[in-house]
Amino acid sequence: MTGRIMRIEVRRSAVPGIALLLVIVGAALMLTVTGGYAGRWTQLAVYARSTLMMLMPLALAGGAWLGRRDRRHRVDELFGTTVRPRWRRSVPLAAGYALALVTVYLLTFLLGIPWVAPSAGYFPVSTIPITAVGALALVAAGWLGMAAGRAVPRVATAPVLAVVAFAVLTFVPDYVSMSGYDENFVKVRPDPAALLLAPAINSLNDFKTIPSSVSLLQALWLAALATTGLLLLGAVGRRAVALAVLPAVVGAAVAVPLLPTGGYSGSAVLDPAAVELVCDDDGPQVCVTRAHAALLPEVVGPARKTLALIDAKLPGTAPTRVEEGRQLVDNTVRSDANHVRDDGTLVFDALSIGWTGFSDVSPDELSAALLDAAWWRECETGYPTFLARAVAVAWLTGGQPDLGRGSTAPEEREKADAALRELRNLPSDEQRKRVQAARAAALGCEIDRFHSLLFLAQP
Amino acid sequence: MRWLRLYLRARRVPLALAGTVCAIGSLWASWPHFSDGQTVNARVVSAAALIAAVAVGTTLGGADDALDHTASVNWPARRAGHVLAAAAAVVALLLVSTLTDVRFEPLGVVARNTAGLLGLTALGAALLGAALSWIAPLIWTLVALLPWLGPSDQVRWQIAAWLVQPAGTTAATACATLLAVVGLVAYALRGCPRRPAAETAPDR
Repeated sequence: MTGRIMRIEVRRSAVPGIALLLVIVGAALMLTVTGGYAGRWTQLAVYARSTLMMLMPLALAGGAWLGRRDRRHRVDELFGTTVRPRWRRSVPLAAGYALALVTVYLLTFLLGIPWVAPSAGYFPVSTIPITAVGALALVAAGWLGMAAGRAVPRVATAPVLAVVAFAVLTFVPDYVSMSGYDENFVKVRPDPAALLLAPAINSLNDFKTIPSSVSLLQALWLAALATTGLLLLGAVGRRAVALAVLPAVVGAAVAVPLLPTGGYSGSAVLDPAAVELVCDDDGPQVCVTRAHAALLPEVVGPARKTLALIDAKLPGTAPTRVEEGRQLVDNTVRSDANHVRDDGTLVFDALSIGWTGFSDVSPDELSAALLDAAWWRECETGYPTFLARAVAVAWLTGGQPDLGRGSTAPEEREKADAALRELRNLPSDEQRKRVQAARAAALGCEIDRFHSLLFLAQP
Repeated sequence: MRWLRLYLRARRVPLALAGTVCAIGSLWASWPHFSDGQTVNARVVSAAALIAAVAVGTTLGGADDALDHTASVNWPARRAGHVLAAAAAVVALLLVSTLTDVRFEPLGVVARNTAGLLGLTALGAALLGAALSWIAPLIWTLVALLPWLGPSDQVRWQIAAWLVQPAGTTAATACATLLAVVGLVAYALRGCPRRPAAETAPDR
């Protein structure tokens, strides 16, 4: 019976229109950023969560529109005179709206699957709680919106709620996070744990995941918030309103002390399964991380070509295997975590995945990156070695130093060209010995020696 | 004068005006707390224009469409006049801030965003009715305000986030002009769709 009432309520209310609108907005957001999650399940779940920045304000507005229904049709007084409790009338529509919102969220998530399923190497279980929290957040927003629309049944309630919610979800976390810096842009206090009460994640790097304990606490808080919305929707009288607010307060009071500080980047942990190596053993071993397993076939060719090239020029000391680094831009893995790395392994920078789920790096660019990586190691010093590396790579390939597409000072370009000319003027045996020694110095973190070997007479 | 006064009252213009002034005023007053810059940025200009567009949207329909249509007056001209006057009022309201330290600037962005959003609102009113006219401007503004969208070189992003492009961006200006013209023409010629009087009655 309840199911039938719910179906009729949903069909004859604005719910289908709201759901359609939300699906269109969610789909547009998901389909314009496929490069952000292609090939990785965790990233798909995270990107679906980031659409909440738009979907939650709209779910609130939709709820407010639904909540205003009785007043709009001028039947609130009529229904107020019936002896049945208010919640009996409000629950079917609220349940139907919640069901619609969960469907919308799952559809948004499912839309990304064609970009993920064909190329994703592994499915982390934490994807499920991350997604569940998102669905719960939409339900909480929808029910709170219905309560607000019932309390203030005006046309402007819905858009005003949406704008306020959007500001709270996007600008407030940003503002709180920025206020943690001092005037020299040094982070002096970590982001408060309460930032995690907002369910929209901005981004997460490929090797991390949100731990399920954090997702569980977020789910607890959002469930409490949804309960408050539902109770407010059915509340008649001041005492009922006060009681209705209680779950949200209790939920926040329990969740905030248990949540980690530092916002989403602080709560994220390394996913050990994502950084495991997946290798191709037909020939010299080539490995990439499990998170980027789809890229392995594209890496193998250029990697083996590079190994052969190095071996031809520097016989005897060339690396014999290639592996992907687990160091992303924000230092996901601290350098001591993968320091055991003999000189026989060439470690290249973690790759980025393109729009289709496969690499957006061309084989030539990949070869260049691999050649560059042969001279690079994470050292204590932050001293830049790109000039020396460019000279060494140019010597290997027999071309000109490639200083990248960025603007390089003319004197640096001149310096690299001069170094290469002088290097090539030496007898070929001497050249090889020098470059070999330079490589050993670079891998041994002797940066000064690396430079002095390549920039012969120059300062 | 009497007609004008009755018309404004029937369209609930005083309430919309009061709401807009309060909302934009509080935005203006709170801005110095969030930034050291004195010029309000394109995002806040967009938010202010959105608030104004929502308020103007509620005034685009009367209490009873069917009754309105019985009046033998030149409705298209009056509807166009309503939208144009509203646009002028909103721009003027935002420009008043240039007398103070916290300014809604530059004029190009203020005029473009107001015109585009009001056009979108008018278009929404012509298609869905005044009560739902806020949907399209709200969604487009929120999309443009997403943290990862901003000034861009690519035309498709310039159109998707036309609200936050710098003044003089051709694609953004063209997009806003198109919205303004289409919205104005559609609303002036067609007006709001006729709905049962029970649904369009004013809020009490």
